[in-house]
Amino acid sequence: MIWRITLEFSDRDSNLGRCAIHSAATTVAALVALAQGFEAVAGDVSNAVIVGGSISASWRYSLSPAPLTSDVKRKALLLSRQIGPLRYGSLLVPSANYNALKPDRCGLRYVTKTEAPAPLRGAIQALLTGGVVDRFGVVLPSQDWVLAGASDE
Amino acid sequence: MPLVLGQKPISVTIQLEDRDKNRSGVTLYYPSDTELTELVAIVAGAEAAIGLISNANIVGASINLPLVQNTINVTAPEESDVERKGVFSFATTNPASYAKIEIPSVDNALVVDGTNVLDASSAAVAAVIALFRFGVPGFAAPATNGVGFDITDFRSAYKRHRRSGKG
Repeated sequence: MIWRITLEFSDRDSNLGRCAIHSAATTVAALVALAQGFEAVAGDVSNAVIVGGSISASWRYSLSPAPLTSDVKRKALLLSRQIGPLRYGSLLVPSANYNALKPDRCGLRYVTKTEAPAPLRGAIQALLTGGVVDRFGVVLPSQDWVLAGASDE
Repeated sequence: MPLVLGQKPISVTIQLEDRDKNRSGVTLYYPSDTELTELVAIVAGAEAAIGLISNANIVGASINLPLVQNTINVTAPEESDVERKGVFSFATTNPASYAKIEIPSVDNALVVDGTNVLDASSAAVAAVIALFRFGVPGFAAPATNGVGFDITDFRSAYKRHRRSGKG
């Protein structure tokens, strides 16, 4: 896999410039070392300030068109247990498949853990496994999600 | 300096597209000490799980490890300008594929007078060339170009002005 290391430079007028290099390194430590090595030498040939960066990889798939019923504005809203005062972990999945989300012949817009059909329970469990955290780094409990439903936005 | 990991979580984004070509994504965050092999497995697992909930097509995925500067920002000097690039060109293991690295705001003092060529005999330019030819000491993985061919020989280094709308 090819990883892209991007450094962000800022000049006196706060314009941002980016510079990317690539590596097939297989550990985070090697990529960070390469980023830091590049930062050191790039900093000596540039008189802008290096203000940040990232290490990233991406994939693209080309597929046949999605089903007629798909609509990314229709979200599945998954709420995890409270992770702090007045705060819940949440995930939004575009184009919720209502047939999978709702129990059969049920008009509920939201379902609790016990009401959710098995495929949905399995999917949520899989999504929250592996140490998912929120954007502040607080762990979302994988066993203890409380609600799943649909949210248009 | 230097840039470090760990101050922000790693993000994994799965991109979805519906019948009408509208796109949206799911972003999951993971602790900053998660290893690359785990992250790649997480992407596969997330794609499978999201496929059970969504009937849009999964058209892409990305992993992003944010690097944050661990020192207080200083203001760049007046002569800095990110649109003035130092362009370094390298050969790769594939003769038909090359690598180009563009460093913003290259120092004009490193340009050979009367030309746009960067002085490869200067210590700063030579250090950039050495990093790409020989890698970081202690780490085996060399730098590659964007399609994965290892960088081999230095070709050229010159100054070029290029707008920075997208870096």
